[in-house]
Amino acid sequence: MESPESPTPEIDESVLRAIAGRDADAFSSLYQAFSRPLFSLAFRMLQRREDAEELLQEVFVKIWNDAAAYNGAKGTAFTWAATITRNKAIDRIRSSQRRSRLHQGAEAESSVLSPSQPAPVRIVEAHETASTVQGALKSLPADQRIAMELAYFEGLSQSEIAERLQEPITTIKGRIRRAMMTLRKELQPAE
Amino acid sequence: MITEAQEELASLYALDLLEGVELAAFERELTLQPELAALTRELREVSAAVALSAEQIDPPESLEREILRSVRTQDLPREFKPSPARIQAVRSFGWVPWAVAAALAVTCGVLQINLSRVRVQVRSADAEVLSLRSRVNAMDGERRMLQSRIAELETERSTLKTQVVSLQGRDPFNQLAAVALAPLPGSKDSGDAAAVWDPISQTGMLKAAALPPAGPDQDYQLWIVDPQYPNPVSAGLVTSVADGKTVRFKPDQPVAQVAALAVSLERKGGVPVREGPIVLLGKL
Repeated sequence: MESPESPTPEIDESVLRAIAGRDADAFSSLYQAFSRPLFSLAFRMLQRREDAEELLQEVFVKIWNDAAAYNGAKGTAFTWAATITRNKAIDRIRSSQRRSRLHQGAEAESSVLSPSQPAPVRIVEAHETASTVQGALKSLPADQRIAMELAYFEGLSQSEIAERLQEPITTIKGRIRRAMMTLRKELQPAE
Repeated sequence: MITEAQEELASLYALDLLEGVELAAFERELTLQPELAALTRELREVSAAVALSAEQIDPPESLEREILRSVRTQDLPREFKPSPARIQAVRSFGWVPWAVAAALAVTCGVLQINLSRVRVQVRSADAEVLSLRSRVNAMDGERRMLQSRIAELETERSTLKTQVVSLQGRDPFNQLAAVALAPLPGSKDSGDAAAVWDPISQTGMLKAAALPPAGPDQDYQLWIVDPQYPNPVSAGLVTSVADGKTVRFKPDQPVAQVAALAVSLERKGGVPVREGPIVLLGKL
């Protein structure tokens, strides 16, 4: 199987410009491309479907309002949208003091989910991109992967990760550096 | 050239793990190093890609409609019909907006000046932070080097202390062995010698009397007979003993037990295994 060009869903910068000009069709196409990965990210971080839905709504409203501020030179549209989602999720986690609950019953809640059926083409695309990233993440040594996940999905700070893993902060920094550099290599677009 | 330390900062930055002074200093570095900025941008993409490692779930279909309704509603212009009384009030105080605008203009001017000053101060503080960080790093490196040297010296001191204690407790005469060397029975060789051997320092002294000078192509060589070796161990050339001098010697190999000492006449420069005739021998 050929490697996909980029592991993240791509969307042209002109779509964002159209959204800034209040083009509802462009907004709808962006929603089609990003809603699934962003919703999955929100759910993984917040662990509650209702919260994830609410958050996704906030994220897309922000995209609608701030599309003019998007700068393609700083990163892809997906990176921008994922950053908005993650920051909003971290804000929620911190403000509601829900962090302790993040470690409980994640699998149980996930099994309760009944995701709506995606179109066949989207299933294939999503499967390819997600499995590329999942494979790369799984190939990391466990200590590096755990440090990454605590930082990314739980929004913990360097010192919180060090405390959680009972390791010196320098060790955590080193693990994150090695993990990021490996992922960068693994997720390099195919030539 | 991007260092490991910069890779680390870029990785932490991409995951929003940098804060405060560290964050400000790194963002300053990004503006100065395009290569570092490119790496950081790539790592941001990597960080966003991690989102895809979450189990992929579709949001409910109704959510898209709700979001579209929500964004359309907020864009609708709100109708505003002022009452006649309100219009009258606005006319009576028509100068107020102009006064407010003038006050705002003045305030903005002052704020702009203050903002410029603050920006200069921030830039200067950033530069100072970078300089201090570099000094701290240098001093940290020096500290580590000195700590390692201190540890080495501590070990050395401890070893020397042990040696001093051992030497202080030693009776030097108790350890020494004295050997008298004489020509082999029945030989025509003349002369005799005396040697003292210290097994701890593995050194000894040899003094001879009435020993004829070695030939022009010959040297006197001293040998130590130690039962642990098949051949006598060479203790070096001792030619100057023929002049009546005291010669200090040290064997080529460690000696555990001295059974005998022998002086032989060898080829000039000495030999690794005795070849020449023994002229003096002394058993312990």
